[in-house]
Amino acid sequence: MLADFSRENAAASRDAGLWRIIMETTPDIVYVLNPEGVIVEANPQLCRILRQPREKIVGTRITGNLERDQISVAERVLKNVVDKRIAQRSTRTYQLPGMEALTFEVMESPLVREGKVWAIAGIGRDITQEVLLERKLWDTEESHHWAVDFAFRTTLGLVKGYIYTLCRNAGMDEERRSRYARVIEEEMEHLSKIVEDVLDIRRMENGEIEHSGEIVKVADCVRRALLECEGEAQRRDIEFNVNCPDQMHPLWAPREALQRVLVNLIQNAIHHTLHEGKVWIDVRDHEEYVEIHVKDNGVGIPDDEISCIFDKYYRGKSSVASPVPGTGLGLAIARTLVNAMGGKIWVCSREGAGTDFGVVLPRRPMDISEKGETDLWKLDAIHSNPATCR
Amino acid sequence: MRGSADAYRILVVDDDARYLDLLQFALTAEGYRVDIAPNALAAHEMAVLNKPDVIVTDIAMPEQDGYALAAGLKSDTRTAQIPLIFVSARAQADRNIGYRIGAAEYVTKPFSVDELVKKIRSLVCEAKSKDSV
Repeated sequence: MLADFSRENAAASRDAGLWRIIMETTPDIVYVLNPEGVIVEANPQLCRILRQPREKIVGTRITGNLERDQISVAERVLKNVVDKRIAQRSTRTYQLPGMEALTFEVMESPLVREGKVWAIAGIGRDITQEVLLERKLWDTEESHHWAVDFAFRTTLGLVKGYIYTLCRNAGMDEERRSRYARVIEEEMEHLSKIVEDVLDIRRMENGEIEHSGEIVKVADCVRRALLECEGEAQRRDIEFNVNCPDQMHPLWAPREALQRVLVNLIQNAIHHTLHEGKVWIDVRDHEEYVEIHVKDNGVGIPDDEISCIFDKYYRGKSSVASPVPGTGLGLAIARTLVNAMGGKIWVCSREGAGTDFGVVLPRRPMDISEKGETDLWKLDAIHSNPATCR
Repeated sequence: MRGSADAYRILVVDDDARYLDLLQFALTAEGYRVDIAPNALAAHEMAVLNKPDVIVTDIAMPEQDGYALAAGLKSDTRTAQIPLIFVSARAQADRNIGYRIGAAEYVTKPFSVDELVKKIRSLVCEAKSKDSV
């Protein structure tokens, strides 16, 4: 009996030793959390990567130092592990003081004892370098084509599937038939827009597109732009809030170009706003210029991406990682058109809080050519006024 | 095939309601029982609850993508055996990751419903023959 006990103890201590060696030498990070998400154990690799002793890591929350937009997602993942008792895989980026951002791919599993989750076991690896490499690749010409390819494939897939289903199911009820026909129509429109955008950005760059001005009612352009974006907003439960005076000083501008700027900005806001979000369109009538804002309470733009967002084919990190539709041409086209109208376009954004695109257009392009810098100087003054940024 | 596959249950996962609507209708018309889930979490819960014969999932979804769903399902003993079909508009790169992570099949958008049905049918037959062995 005593001999059995000693043998069991020896085996247990051998197992513990083996276990410790694995924990100390594995290149993976390993940690244990209590059900509230507080770290109760961390292996040496995690300490090495975080450049902190184990004592400083234990007792902190796993969601501490996470990038702001990831906190609620990580908390939901942990809640699922505990409540639903299912393992969850996720990617997390930590911003530790005095260090470059670190990205980990982790798998968290529930540890169950007597029917209750008493802890969460996490295992993961540092993928910071892979993410950096992916971002560099994303900046190449090839990836630009990839964005267009992705948009084409998604849209064509819907059209092909709906046509197939309509053709194969003659007995389909009328409501469904017309709903499917509507999807085909919308997606064909979308396809045309992709082709148009790709061709137009080239023509614009080559100076092949000329815009002739006319007196336009901004309120009408806003209404038409909203109508064009309505379907997508409804699908994503996004609410429009519009403030646009019906009576305004006349604006001399190319109607189609103005409408396209509005559509592109509104679509961009819809694509980067989560379900049930809000988009505000605010038009202010000044004596010498018109000021338009398209704001959203969406995901916002990280500081390091702000300078690139008007570049053609540029799609933000969040667009690359998640299924945000688009080819990365909408904002580039909007900027080109606003510039052609003698106006200015700018952006103010806070990650996790939302984005505000501002546009100012001179009331008459004649003022610019006749008075030279005067009106542009005023536009610049608005552009650089921090009070116009959120 | 129509009407003969009532016993088989398919779970379709996609954040795009139009794809869910399309595949639910098209696969139901082929005789399958079809459940739909708009995100990875709901999909995992449904997989545990309904034990589908095949799961068809999109890859690019917000918060948790198709890979995260697959990893969760494969590490859960209740769902590990369910064959997965990945659907994506991304071509080769995704396909490689997809197979590595445990996908049984991979379909690239724009796919034909016929192609998808064939793949589902062959996975169901495979599972059936394993059961009978």
